[in-house]
Amino acid sequence: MLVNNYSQRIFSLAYQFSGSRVEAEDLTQDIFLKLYNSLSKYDREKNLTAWILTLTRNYLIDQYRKTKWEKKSRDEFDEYRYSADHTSDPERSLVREETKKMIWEGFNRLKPDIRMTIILRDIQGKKYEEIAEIMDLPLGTIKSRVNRGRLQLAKILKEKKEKKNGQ
Amino acid sequence: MDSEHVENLLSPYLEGELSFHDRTLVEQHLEDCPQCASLLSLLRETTRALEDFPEAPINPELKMRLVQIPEKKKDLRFGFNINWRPLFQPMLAAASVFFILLSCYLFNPDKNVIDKTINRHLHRGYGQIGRLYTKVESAADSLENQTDSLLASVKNMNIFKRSGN
Repeated sequence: MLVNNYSQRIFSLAYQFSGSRVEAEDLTQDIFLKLYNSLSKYDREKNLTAWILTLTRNYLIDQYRKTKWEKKSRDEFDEYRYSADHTSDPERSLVREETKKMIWEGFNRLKPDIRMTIILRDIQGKKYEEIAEIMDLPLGTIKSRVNRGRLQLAKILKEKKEKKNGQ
Repeated sequence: MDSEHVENLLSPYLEGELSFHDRTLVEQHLEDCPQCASLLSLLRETTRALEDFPEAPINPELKMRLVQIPEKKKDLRFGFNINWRPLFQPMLAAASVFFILLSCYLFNPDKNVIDKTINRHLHRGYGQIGRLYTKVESAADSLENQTDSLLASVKNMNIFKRSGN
């Protein structure tokens, strides 16, 4: 069943991309509506998961371009609610949480295509080949986008740390 | 190797995708360049943080709504196809025009003038209809008279008189 197999994945992608839970819920509904409408166009010889994720990615980026929701702030990063990082060293854990928060906040500064590539590669842990299929781009372009995205995020992190230490 | 070139190799370096030759060059550069070494450390921190990023659980209510989408679509399609769809747009257009005209009339500051004009036109219309009715009546009368005279002249013709004898 489509909802059981794909709703969590689509919602996660929408949430990580938009940074807002409310926005992600609306987007997930719209994507499923589009999905039901487009099922007749699905070529059965192709990979269903990749097809659904391509549709999701297209919809998210299109909506982003139409509404420019990057101007809206992302939800507060709730470390207790979402964090899976519980190391024995509380101080180290705190630093990690702080880093995650800074990256989460800086995520909207990435261009949508780069943000999507980083989400697929580094958050969702997909292989480069899978990402190339979903993004419908050559492998080399995907690798270069991942590289650019990571460097941008690292620089944002540096900037935020310097700002914090300067205060 | 300059810093800009090394910057672009740091991500593949972290993923172990560089050739032995490139890896050695990057490592040599990192030993002499604290900026690139710092950037590598930030990159490591970034990728680790991203790997630990949360997966927000989906709300069960949203999941329920998603399951109901095809059913809602079916209901909507059924209702529209049988009764509504073909008539809906022209009806809506006609209603819009009607309400626009009605509001133009109701909210017009010269409503009394419009009323008078309408009345005048109505009376003129009644008068015209009355005159037309009279004309039709007189035309019917004259047609009847002509029919009678025609019948009388036909009856007086010789051919009918002979057959009558």
